[in-house]
Parts: sequence; C-alpha cells; structure tokens
Amino acid sequence: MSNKKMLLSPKTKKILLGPLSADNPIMVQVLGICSALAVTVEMKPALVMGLSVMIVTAFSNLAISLLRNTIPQRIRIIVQLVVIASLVILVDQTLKAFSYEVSKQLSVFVGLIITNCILMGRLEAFAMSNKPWDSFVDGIGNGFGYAWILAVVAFFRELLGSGKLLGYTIIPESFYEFGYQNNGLMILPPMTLVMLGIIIWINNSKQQGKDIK
Amino acid sequence: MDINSNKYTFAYAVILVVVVAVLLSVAATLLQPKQTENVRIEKMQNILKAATTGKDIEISQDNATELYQKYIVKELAVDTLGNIISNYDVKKGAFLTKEQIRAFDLDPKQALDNIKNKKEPMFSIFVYEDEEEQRYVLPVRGTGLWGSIWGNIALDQNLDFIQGVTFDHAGETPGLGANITLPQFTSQFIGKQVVDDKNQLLNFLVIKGGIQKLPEQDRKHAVDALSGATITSNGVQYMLNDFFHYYKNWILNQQVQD
Repeated sequence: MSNKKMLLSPKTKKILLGPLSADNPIMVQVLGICSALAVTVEMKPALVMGLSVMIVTAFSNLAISLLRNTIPQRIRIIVQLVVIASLVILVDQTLKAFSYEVSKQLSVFVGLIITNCILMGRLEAFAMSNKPWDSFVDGIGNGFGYAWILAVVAFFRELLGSGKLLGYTIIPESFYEFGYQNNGLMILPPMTLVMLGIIIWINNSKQQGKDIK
Repeated sequence: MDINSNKYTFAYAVILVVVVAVLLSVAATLLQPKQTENVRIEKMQNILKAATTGKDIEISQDNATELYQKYIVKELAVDTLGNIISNYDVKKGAFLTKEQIRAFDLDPKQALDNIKNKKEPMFSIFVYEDEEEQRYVLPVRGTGLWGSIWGNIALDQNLDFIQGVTFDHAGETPGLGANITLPQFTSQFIGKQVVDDKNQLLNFLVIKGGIQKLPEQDRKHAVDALSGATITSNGVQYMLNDFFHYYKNWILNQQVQD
C-alpha cells in the first residue's frame, strides 16, 4: 500500500516525468551526446543502449542512495565511480553472453557508459541527498529521458538512411523503382547533431509556450 | 563513529573494493561459457559466410552450428610444407589422422607468433561441400592501420579462384578502413585468380586508384583499394600474400594431384 502511495505522490511523479521533457538530460542539459552520435544509426543498438543506461542509472542511484550516509566525503566521487563501473561491466558481460551481435555493434560504447555525464550528474546531484526510492525513480526517469531521444533519432536515421526499422525493410521496393534513394548522409554522425538540434528546437519552443501561459 | 576519519575512509575503500571484486569475478565466471560459445558461433558464421558467397543460404547466430555441421565436411591442419597434420571429419566427429588437433581451435594469430619465434606454425583449412561443389576456406590474419585485421578466403575446388571472402577488424576507422567488411569491398574478390595456368602462385594486388590502370592480365588478381584507407588496404594485400605464401605448398600439392 505504502509503495503505491509513494508511486502516486506528486513529488515522485515529478521526479519520474521531469527528465522526459522539461529536465531532459539530452535536450535540456545536453549531456551524453557522444554515445548518442555513435549508436543511433539503427534502432536496435539504440534501444539496447537506452535500456542499458536506464538500468545503470537506476541501480547506481539506488546503490549510492542506500550508501549515502556511510560514504566518507573525501572519497565520494571514487565510490560513485566504482559503483557505476561495476554495474557497467555487469551489463557489458551480460550483453556479451546473451546478445552477442548487439554487444559487437555497441562495442566500446557500453564501456563508455561509465563516463556518461548523466550518471555522475545524477549520483552527485540527486542520489547523494535523497531517499533510495526517489533516487531509483530519478534514475529510471533520466535513463528513460536519454533512451527515448536515442530511439527517436535512431528511428529517423534508420528509416531515412537505410529504409528499414529494426532491420525490417519498411520502404517498399516500388518507391526505389520510382527513383527514391536512401539518404546516405543520415548514416553519418553529423546528421545526429542536426536531428538533436531539431528536437531541442521543438522542445524549447514548447517549453516557452508553457512559460507564457 | 566519524565517517570522515582516515581510518574509516581506508576501511570503507577496502571493503568496497573487495565486495565489488567478488561480485564481478562471480559474474564473469558464470557468464564465461556462454561468451566463449558466442565467439565459436561467430567463427562458424564467418567461415560459412565466406564459403557460401553467391549461394542462397541465410546464416544467422541461431542456425550457424547446424549449418556448419551440414556443409563443412572436414577440418584440416597443415604446415608450411603442405603436409596435412590433422584431418577432422566434422560429420563423424572423429579424426582421420593420428594427430588429434581440431583445425577449428587453431588461431592464425598463434601461427603468426610461431613464425616470429621460428617455430613451425600450423594453419587451418575448412572443406565446404554442398550438392554442387566443394570449396576450401582459409582463415587469414594481418595488420591494418590501428590493429589486427582478419578474414576467411574461400577458394574453388581446384584452388585456382577466390569464391568469396569475409573480413573483420579490431578497430579500423569507421567509414574508411572499417569498410573492408562491406560487400562493396568484399564482392570484388569473387572470381579473382590465385594460381596461374602454369601452377605459379600469383602476387595479389589491392590497388589504389583502381585496377583499370593495370595491364589486362594483372587485373585478374587485383582489386580496387578503399579510398581514404591506404594502410588498411595495403594491410589486406600483405595479409593475403603472406597467407597464400604459407598455404602455397598445400595448394600446389593439391593441384598436382588433380
């Protein structure tokens, strides 16, 4: 019962939903761009990457929040890094065992979750001073805020760049016969920046609209 | 207790590291067999991909083991003199030679190390067979720009022509050297000559600027290099010539027998 009550509490809701738009790590704080460039050529690695980051943010937030009153001030950043690094290695090893092809595509970028600014940012700014449940929710929220942007970018890049979605051909053969061509530029990293720019633009104009009201 | 005292800080760090170390080693040990299996499956996939180039066979992670059993009939291990050291019958799961070394478990990297240390290397050959023909798959390995490159070369049953290739790399530049894995590059190798009419091994060429600048007769054993990836392209050329040289005696032996 108490769990359900907490789920519905407006504060927790705000923690969970804030990072999806108003406080989005990519759109508003512009963190984690490096991996967003690298893994969004196709939907599948983008979704796995999003999910991996979500798992790592949620559980590292939870772990740090549980430990927050025991962590000595002077080594708190190191402790945070150790927690993140071990979770990332766990995710990496699990992917290598159960999703080998995806882990090959993601290659070093799973390892680079360790250096993803979203993680350190959330641990230092939120988990160190909040209760475990709130921190866990905050981790999910931020991970999801990262994941959905990756998914949207990957959606357009795969559809326009390769004519496919999740590896299935979407654009029918007849389109190509009429002279339609896949946009090779979409596959290259610079297009991600353009796409992110457009997403940030849309988001900003929406947020501004809210302010005026 | 003062959580900011030196004693506490040290103790905290030690305990944390030990806990994390135990956790990670347990996870690594538990997942190891599955990971090794994945690497083996990938190796099978690459051998099959090279061997079945131009054929309508879909190879995935799930059916690789099954297709390997179906199409790869023999695994041979040969030395540089062309002697067959071991011969493993994949279907029967038994060795046809006294020496019991599965060529599948050999690593071209080990062979290269042995050459460097003046020890006798061993190379693997995979014999592919379907209803129509036989093909021979030779694994190769070399150096690109940033690290290792490797691949599988499938030759026809007379060992004269290349029927298909796969390449892979550790960390070539994405969009440039990394393109050696793409069909645009690998499809060029199909039909290229390895041994000429007089049973001489040909020097394989990966030519910058395109093969049309070569004399007609040389184009049969040359492909276009990748633009912007000169060192990776040269790496592919050296890799092929090195390994054709290592396999030379075995290839020429086979041809005399024909």
